[in-house]
Amino acid sequence: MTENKIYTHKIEKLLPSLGVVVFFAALAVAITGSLWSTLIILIGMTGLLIYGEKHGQVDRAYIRVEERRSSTLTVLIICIVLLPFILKGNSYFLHIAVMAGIYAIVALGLNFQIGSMGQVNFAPAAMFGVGAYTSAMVTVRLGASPWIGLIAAMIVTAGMGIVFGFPALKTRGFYFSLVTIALQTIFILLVVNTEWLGGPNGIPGIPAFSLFGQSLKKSGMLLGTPIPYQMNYIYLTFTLLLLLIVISKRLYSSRIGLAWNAIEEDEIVASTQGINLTKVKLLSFSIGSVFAGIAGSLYAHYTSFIGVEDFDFNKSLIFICMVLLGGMDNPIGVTIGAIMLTVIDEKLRIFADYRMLMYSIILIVVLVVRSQGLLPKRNRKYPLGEEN
Amino acid sequence: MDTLLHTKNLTIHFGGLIAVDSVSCSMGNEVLGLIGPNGSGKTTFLNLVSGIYSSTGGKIEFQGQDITRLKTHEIRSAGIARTFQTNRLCEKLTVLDNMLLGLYSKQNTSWWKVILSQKTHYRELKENISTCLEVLGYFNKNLIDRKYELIDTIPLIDRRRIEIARALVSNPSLLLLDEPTAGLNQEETANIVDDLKRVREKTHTSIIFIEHDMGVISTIADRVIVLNAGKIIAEGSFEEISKSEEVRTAYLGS
Amino acid sequence: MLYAQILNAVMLGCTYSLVAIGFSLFFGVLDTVVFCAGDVAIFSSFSVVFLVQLIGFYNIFFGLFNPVAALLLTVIVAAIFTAILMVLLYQLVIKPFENKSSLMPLLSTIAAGIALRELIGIFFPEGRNPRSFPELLSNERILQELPGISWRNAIIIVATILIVAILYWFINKTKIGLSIQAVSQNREAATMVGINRNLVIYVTFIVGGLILGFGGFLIGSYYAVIRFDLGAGFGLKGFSAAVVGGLGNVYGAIVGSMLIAFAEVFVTAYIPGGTAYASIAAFVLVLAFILFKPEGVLGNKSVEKV
Repeated sequence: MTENKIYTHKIEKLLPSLGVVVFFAALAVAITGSLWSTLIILIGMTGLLIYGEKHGQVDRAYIRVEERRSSTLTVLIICIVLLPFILKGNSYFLHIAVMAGIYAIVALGLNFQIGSMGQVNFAPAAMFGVGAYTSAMVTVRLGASPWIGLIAAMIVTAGMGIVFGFPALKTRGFYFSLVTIALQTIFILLVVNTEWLGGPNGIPGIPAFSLFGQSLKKSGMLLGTPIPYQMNYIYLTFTLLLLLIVISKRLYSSRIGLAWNAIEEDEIVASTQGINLTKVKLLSFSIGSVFAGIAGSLYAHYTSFIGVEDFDFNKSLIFICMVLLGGMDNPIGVTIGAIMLTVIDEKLRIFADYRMLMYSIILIVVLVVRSQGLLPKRNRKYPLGEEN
Repeated sequence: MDTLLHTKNLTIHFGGLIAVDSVSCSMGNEVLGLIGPNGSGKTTFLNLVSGIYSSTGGKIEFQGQDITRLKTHEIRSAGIARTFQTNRLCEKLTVLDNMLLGLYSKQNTSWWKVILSQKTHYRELKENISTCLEVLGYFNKNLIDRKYELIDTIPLIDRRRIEIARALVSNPSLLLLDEPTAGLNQEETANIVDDLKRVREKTHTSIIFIEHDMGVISTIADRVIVLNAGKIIAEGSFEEISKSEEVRTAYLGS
Repeated sequence: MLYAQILNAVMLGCTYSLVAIGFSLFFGVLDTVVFCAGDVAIFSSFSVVFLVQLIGFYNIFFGLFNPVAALLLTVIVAAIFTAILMVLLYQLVIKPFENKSSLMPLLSTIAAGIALRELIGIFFPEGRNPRSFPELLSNERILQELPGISWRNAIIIVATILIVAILYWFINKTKIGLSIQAVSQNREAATMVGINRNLVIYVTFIVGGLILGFGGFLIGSYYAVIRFDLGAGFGLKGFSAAVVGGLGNVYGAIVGSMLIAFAEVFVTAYIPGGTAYASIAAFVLVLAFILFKPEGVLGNKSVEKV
């Protein structure tokens, strides 16, 4: 039972790689261009995705990528390596790319709860904050290496994920959402009122990651041109992002992802199929929180200053927006959604007053017009044929 | 005959309502029909055995093991699978995914193994998929070709079959069927009955099923238990039951 | 001291309870949480500010009517604005999600709440700055011997009781009110006996909008200073109160509001440095209820359907 090879021309073999290149080129123009070119590109991308989805092109693209996985991946990695240069080495443009990567990681983690399990968790920003604060405290107060901070952040967020996930065992729907809103609010209030955590003033002076004795915050020289330090963070962030996308995809196609979907639809049926609800639900929260924790740690050691307003309820809503816009339960979609929203957010910085209005309208429009998101969840197709 | 399932004074009450009232029964390897008027506690009995409700009194033994306090998923792993009265497949998942869910308890690959390596995971997945397709094909060959289709495109009779197949795929020792023919027309009912007969012949799985259609009961049940108001009022072969005065009163009202 | 605290808590409870009643009413007929109720109430506060400025500008009404009539007119017009807004919100962000996952209206109403508060912030003149709410209710004491009981406080308490009483009458004595109850208890059965569910929903949203409208006026009067983003907090507290009291139960909403208000006021008053932790205490109370008594104080424990 082998899948029919769809492509007829030789050139079609190159299409997946070409798609990746076009995506990165569009991304680069969106980041570096004027506001209008950004909007045109994002709207074009949206239209293309919706059109492709309607006419089955996206499905074919998926199959092609599966067939030519290694070459597509190689092209993707080359694009990431070249990204800082495509962005003209401009430190602000590079900054946008880093933030897009960091937010995409949080959105991927949130997707385990909203996308896979259908439980709207309103506290991803709090978990992002737990990661950032843990990492910052470990390095600033204890003087440990940022890498230790990253590991500490992962451990603490894994534990906190279980704490935040505990209510999901007992309730669901609005009740659960209210619990997470309450936890999000409690987190902010606790941080603001705790002197030791910097209170309302935040924590300054967080050290940067260093690799082989070299701080990643040091700008380098390449072929005689100065390269801003953000380049190092692009590589770090996107390496992690790629890794986490792979993990997300693997979980999705495993029995764990299937169990999450079953829980979303019918908990009783899920448990009669032998799914341990407690374990599987907590796993979703714990893994999702570790993702947020990794992102938080990256953020803290990237910006070197964290304040409580980086992790408030509005930020949580933005993360939810990213997951919904991109496509629930589709890691690639979620990543694209996160990148799109981060870029547009940065581009609209001059209209900061309209920011939340924009997000709320995007959320409503997505829900009404296209609740499955730009790149919706795919039905699982399994490698039934002989492995090649 | 070895005892497969044994309940002793099994009781549950919701507030003041006693839904199942000290039911003691046992069954061996057989097909047991469970009948009784609406609200007599049939479905509640299945919910108790499959662990969805936890009983307020009494004991359930399965293959000599006390399963009274086991959680729902542990009971499935112990070898009791069930279907529901209203069709409860996962509508947003494909036929194959629904079948794979039935094998969840038989899969061993833990989440971190999935993350670290795909190889063992794929090997297991492949075996599971062929098992699923085999069981599906046993019910309806067409379903194998429709394995990647979403459930909402599948006709009702085939959904019923998929639900039974999903329960059967993990090779349970006891199958609980809650009105397998509900909502089907006569021809479809006959098809399902035929399927169940073949399943029984091939796998020798014990079955408890709830049914209102006496024709179905008389065709496949080895033994029948009649419940009324949460109590067993009669027990025996279909012929014996149909002669019982008490059963008639319960059904027709006094 | 204790007397003053109790009075404080009751006042706070009154401001929460009208928002909470809104949540419960909507949840009853729709089985979904209309999260923007807090923002809708604050919209009403701003409507009052707007109307008073308008009226002050033309100085017509104060010339034509006596002050009490002008006040009543202002409040009623603001409440009607709010009711219209509520119906609009139903059309735009709730109706499209009928028969879909109940989480979608939750998300869309949260988004609508944010949109509403941002719109106030952007389009109301100097909307992002705190606004002083016109002192429509006198802050003078009624009796010199009774500290704390000003005209304002007394009117807030009496108005809350009055609104609840009228609501009680409406729900229990009128035909449409009884229909609302019927739909809340069993949607299918209600439709089967010929109740027009759409009509019931619209009436509920109008009534709920009016209540939120009056609530906004009372909130503004009590706090004297309003901000465009106050609605977020009130929405959260109101929803929490509705859950604590038993979601869908209108009287439970009042009990829940009082419980939360008392928790906040007493933590502030009796725990050193408690001001910071007042809201935390309220949310911990909500968490405890959701986890251990999800049906709330007055709700019925429902057997989970299998």
